[in-house]
Amino acid sequence: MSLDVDDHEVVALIGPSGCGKSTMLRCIDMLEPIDSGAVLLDGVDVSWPGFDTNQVRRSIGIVFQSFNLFPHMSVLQNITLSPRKVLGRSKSDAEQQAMDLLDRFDLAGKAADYPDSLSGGQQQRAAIVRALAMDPSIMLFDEITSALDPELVGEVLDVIRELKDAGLTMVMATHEMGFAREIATRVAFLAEGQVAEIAPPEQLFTQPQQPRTQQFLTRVTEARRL
Amino acid sequence: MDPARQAAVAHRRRRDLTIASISTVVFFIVVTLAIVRSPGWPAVQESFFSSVDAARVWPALVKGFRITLLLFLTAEPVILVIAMLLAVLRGLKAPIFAPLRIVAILYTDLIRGIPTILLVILFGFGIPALNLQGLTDSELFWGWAALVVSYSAYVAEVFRAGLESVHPSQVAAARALGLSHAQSLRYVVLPQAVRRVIPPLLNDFISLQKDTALVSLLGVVELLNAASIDQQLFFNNTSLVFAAAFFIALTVPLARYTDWISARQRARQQGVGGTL
Repeated sequence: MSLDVDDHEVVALIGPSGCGKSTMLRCIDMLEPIDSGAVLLDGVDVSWPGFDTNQVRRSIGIVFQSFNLFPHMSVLQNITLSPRKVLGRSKSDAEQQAMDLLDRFDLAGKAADYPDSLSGGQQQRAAIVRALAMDPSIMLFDEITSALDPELVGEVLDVIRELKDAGLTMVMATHEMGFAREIATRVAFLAEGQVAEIAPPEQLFTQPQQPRTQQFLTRVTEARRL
Repeated sequence: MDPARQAAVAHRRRRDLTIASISTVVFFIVVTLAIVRSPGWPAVQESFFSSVDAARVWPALVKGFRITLLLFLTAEPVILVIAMLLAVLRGLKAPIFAPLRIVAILYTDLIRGIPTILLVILFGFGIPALNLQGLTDSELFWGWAALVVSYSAYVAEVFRAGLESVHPSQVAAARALGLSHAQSLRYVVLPQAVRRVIPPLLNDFISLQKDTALVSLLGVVELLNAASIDQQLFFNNTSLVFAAAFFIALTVPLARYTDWISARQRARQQGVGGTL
């Protein structure tokens, strides 16, 4: 499997369950061990054994399907933990930046609350803010709307739209085909651990080259997800 | 709910409460009468529940109780620190820490395999007999040390279970934010692990309070020994029953508190969405 992502690109990964979307994202962020191949960030092989993975993880932000906020900390503490401990920012600087981000995504009022009192959509947006607070150069999203009630999905997708407008480089694994079509610069269809096809959305969704892709899209349309 | 329905529910509730109260009171009256009226009771009361003997033994019991308190109040913090250290050492992944991991495993396996009473006797009689320079002779100290060594092994396993119960996705999230293994442990995993194991920790604390009685074997006059000495002098068991009452007064409130904390945690965990 090989994938190139340019600056400011938004690449959507789609495909059936088990095709390797999540695994790929986790490999990029070094959360899964790589058996062969390499991850190159700005031309540097960051997957080489012994490379300082913590340093890499500062440039790559990842948001998971199950939010994974730290339940024993308030939203603000969740967001400021890593900037303070990893980037060495002062408490006031980190909190200021956190409040700015929270404000931008309509969560300012929830800063002092604990994750268990937030709705799913709010938790996911807080998780995105937490990843953004590290000023990553690339953001990975692993099916971030899959665990949400339908009416909460919209608010999270709004955040992604805004991030795209701000020019952030993103790779997202998603089942939201309509959204992928709207926002991605390229869509990659994954099947059985391979990139079966990759193309701009209009081309992939209307004129897929591979039969596997066609099959998948037909099934998805039948399920009225497109 | 409309008022008629509300009134019916309230009436039902009052009725149930009345039935429960009457039934309980009647039950205990009947049981008490049955005991007190039975032919053997005067003898039992004289031997186990004599107020005269209770009054006599009270000062000695209070004195012994102070030693019991001293024992477990000083032992518990030390146990918690050693146990936490053992649990963390056991979880270290870097190759250079392999010997520390092995020591932690050996310690918990060996010590948990030895009955606490045996450790108390071994430490209390065995170590002073070595007559080593610089080591105290105090049976109280060595009994205390045996309790600390024994309980650290059990509590270490409790902490280890707590550490392992924190979902790996929490660690993944922490690492993904750039936190090192040590930082993830300190800020994300340990705080959650410790909160989760508070009920079993409290249970072990209650056990410790009762196991301080083992130190009596070394001649230390804590609560049990104080009662036991009186019993041997006056051939009356009231002192032992009284000592048992002391222990109960100590452990029951803690047990109820532990139940309350467990219930509260269960309620919290079931209300959390998406952060499992």
